[in-house]
Amino acid sequence: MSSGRDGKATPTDRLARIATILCIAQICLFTGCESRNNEPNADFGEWLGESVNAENYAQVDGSYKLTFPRDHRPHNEFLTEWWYVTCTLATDEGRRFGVQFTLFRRSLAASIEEPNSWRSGQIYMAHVALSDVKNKKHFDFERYSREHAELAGVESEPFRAFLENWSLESTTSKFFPLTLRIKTDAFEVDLQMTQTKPIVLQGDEGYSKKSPNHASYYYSIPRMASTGKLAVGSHTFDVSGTSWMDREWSSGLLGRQYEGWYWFAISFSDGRDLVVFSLRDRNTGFDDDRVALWIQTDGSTTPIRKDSWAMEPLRKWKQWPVEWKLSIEQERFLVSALFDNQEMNTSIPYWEGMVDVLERNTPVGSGYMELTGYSPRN
Amino acid sequence: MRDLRRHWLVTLCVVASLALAAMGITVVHIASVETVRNLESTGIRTSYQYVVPIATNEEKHYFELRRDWRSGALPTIEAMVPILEGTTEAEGRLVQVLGIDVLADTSGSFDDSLSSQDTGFLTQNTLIAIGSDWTVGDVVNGSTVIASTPSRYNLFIADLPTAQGLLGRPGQIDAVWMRRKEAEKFSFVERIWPGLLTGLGYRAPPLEVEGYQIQSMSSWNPLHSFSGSIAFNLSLLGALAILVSGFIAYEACSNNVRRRRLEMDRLGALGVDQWQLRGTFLIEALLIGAIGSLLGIGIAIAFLQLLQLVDVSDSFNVVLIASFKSVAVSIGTLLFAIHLATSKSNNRIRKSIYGLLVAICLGLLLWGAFPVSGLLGAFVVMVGMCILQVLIVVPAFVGLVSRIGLAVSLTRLTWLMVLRQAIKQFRSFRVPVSAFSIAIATAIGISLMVTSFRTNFEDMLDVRLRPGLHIESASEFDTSVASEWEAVENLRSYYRTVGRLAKGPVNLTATNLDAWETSRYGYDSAIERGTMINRQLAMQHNLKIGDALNIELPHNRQLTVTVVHVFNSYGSNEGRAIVDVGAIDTAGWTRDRVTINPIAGREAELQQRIASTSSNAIVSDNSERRTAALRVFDQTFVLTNAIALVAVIIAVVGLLSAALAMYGAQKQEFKLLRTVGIGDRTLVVSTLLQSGLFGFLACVIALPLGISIAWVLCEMVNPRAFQWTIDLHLDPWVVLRPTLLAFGAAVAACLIPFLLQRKHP
Repeated sequence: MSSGRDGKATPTDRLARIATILCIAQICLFTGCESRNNEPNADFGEWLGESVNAENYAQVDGSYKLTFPRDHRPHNEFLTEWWYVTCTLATDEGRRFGVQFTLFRRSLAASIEEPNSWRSGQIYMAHVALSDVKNKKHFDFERYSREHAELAGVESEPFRAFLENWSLESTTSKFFPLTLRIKTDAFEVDLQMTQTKPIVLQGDEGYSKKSPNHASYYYSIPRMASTGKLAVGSHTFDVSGTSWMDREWSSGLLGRQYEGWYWFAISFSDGRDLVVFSLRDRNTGFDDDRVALWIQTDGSTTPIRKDSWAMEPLRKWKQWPVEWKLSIEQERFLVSALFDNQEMNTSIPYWEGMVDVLERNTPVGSGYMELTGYSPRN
Repeated sequence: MRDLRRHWLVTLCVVASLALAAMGITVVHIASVETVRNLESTGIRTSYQYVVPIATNEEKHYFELRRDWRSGALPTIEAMVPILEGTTEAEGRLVQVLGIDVLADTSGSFDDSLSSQDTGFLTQNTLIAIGSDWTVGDVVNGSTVIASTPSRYNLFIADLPTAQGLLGRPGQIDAVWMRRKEAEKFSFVERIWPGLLTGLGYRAPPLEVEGYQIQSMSSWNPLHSFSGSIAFNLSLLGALAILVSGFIAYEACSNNVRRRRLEMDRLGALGVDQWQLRGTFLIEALLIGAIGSLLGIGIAIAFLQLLQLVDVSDSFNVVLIASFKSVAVSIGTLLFAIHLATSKSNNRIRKSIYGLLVAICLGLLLWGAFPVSGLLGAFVVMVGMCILQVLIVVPAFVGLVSRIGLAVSLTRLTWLMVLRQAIKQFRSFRVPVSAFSIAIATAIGISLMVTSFRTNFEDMLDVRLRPGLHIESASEFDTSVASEWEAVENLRSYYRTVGRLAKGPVNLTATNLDAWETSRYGYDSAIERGTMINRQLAMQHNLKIGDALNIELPHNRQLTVTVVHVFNSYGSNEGRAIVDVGAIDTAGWTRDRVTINPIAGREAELQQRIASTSSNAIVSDNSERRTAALRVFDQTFVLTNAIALVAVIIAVVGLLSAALAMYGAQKQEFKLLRTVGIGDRTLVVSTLLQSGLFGFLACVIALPLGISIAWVLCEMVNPRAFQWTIDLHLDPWVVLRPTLLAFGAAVAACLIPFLLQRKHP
């Protein structure tokens, strides 16, 4: 509040500056880097760059074999990671809602002096959002905290990823079923999620190469059956639907040539799921290492060859392309935001919201789209 | 433009008037902000409005409170941070430590200047050193200094775990600070007008949550409202300075436009329409306004730097806001003056407006006299008095002087002409005389109020801060051990809590109310079953001596006490009651303060001993606290005098401007006088007498208004804004100083045109 009020370097200013570490950390969480720029909100892509201190952290080299439930836990030896859940829900009457919960972890330093309960060197940031499709309203909130047993962190047994009273946690000693609890000034969520498909290891057994020198460990849990309650204002709804979970950790996710990405997770009504993502080259807007993966009804995966699929933006809202043409081999889909304004007005703005997938004007699936690094001037 | 150049002297006067107006606004603004800044030392507390003391120092209470907040129990709270405070010994010196979890309140914005030192604040033992000699890179008690800021206040700020280590109190916190959701939007007002919110009586509304003692920050940081009071009073002076500036700028511009009326009429006759003419004036006004304002801002900065009042280079944003204010007011006044001067005059309408203005002023004065009108009413009274000075007092006085002057019959024609000339000048100078008298009156009024305030404040400090040591954050300080120390003569504990009266919460203090203690509040005997309350509480709840107070205490206890004394308190604008500790059960109270009176000469020894016994205790010497408080006041005096000087300078330049505007006419007068045989010597003497008479009369008009302004400030503004009263001390020197200064300046201003005409007869 008092940051930079009068130009004098008061302690308050200094503390405000220190508090901005969180914002920097946030950027790093997104990008896996430590580079900074003077225009944080102007161009997300400008924040992308090579990590300068990442060599002090563990590196993603593909030698690590993912095992569960061990790898649901945090990997503090890496610079950054996140636990990401999106839910596409509806009431019995067909009123649709989308819910997003993301918990980011970021390491502030590879070595900590005199660690204790207040000083683990890890900080957490959480984003939660609700899309109310009927009213075309999108609510989003952001929180930060240092890691502390009473404030924020991720616990293993039982699993619990939390930042104060926003949490994703196992209700038993096993990982599933999971409960997602969110309470904000605008909405509340209490959802139970059960597994319907096996864990999907992205890339090569979880080793997800992003560019020649950058990679992450990455797995997803698609189509979790979800039921529970959701409250918006004074109205409470019984809802059900499916949820998608993504887990990713790294010490350097992106190269300097990238300015952001698009990412889609879609559940088709025929039982298949699809994940599509591509980093966006700063110059060309495309990436050679783009990924598309079918997850069949039985959980088996079918990678789609790069030259067999394409995404073409059709319509923009502000800088965000909210309508796309998706071509996969012979199939043609229209991926369209359920409503345009699902922008995350967080420290770094991005777009994260519900989409419907249509084939010849017929809805065939729904899911979530994430867009980052689209500068307003684009 | 050509005309501006041709009449460069008049143009210069307009520019000078505006420059001085801008200077006044800039000086007042910067001085007010600097005063608040000096008083509030670190400024960190000012971001928060509430404090929840954690009596047991256990962190778990913070987490419980935070959980309750997150679940919706405190909907008006935007953020909360845990705090740990104490004193540590570093390289032989005692330094206060403030530990704060900065990550608990992340309303910070992006910043491009972060360094690895900043992240080190959270991961390594590092600290920010305020006001001490340590520099970046120094290692103090195992912690590295990552930033240092000069200040009068010695303090280490550290991340909470670092502070816990420095103070040897792992796992402990002292309090939780909380910020209201809408606090930020109001802080914008404070940036535009420092002290306004405090002056308008804005304070965070009481917050009550079962199970917690939530206190307002201003009751913990009394200097917050005190600094607001000073800033507000300074700003009031600033408002009057703006009024004076407005008159002067208006007069200068009007003269300029009137002088060009013939030219305008000619252009009008040639078919140039009114809007085109106004457009010309508008462009000229913007140009002159911009030059005048920038000049004024420059002079103000030089003035402040010269007097070493403010390090302007360190206050860029403050200067920027002050500059915007100055430019806006200068150009606004100029445009208004041009609008009025170029509008077709209609005597009937003017008389109606005049009558209406007088009626409105009288109505507002009447309304403001009632306490129910609040601070706004008091302010209206002050401005109303100034406007009535312009509308009624000055014209009436000028009329009276004219009549007396015309009735005087002098045998010598020379002196008769001198007298008539003086009266003529006095009559034609009505507007500048009005502005001049308001400026002097403002200077007198504010000086009287501040002097009176200082006298009262010093009296209060004399009895309240007796020689001894003051220990804050004293919950862990073992008084039973300390009372055994040889060097201790007298030891007292002070307990604090928040109680409830029918109309709202009340800050309660409990201590041993023996005669020694009560005498600190101006009472002469011990109090056992009664209470002493401050004037603020008496005013807020309409209480008087003999009234019974039924106070709800924590843990569902009740306390009924009778008011036996009402004392003055200039520390906080919040209500406070002091009860005898023997009359209450201290369960649920926080013992946050201890005072110790050492045996003479053993203060330093005792101070060291306290610090080594209790790391969370913040020790200060009462004599240092007294000196610090008075230093602030003395600095305010410097500022007040400087601002009063600015007001007088503005008024004098206004007079000079008016005198120069009449220079042409005066030249003719002097020629005529010379023609009838009056020599230069007589003219010099007569002009001196004339100027002296003029200055004297202007000062005579200013005196009653000045004393009235002082009275309104002491009896209406301060009680309504801060619930404290100030006894008005009519110090003759305080009255005479600005008056004599103004008198001399007025004489000089009126002499300049004469000297000019002697040079160019």
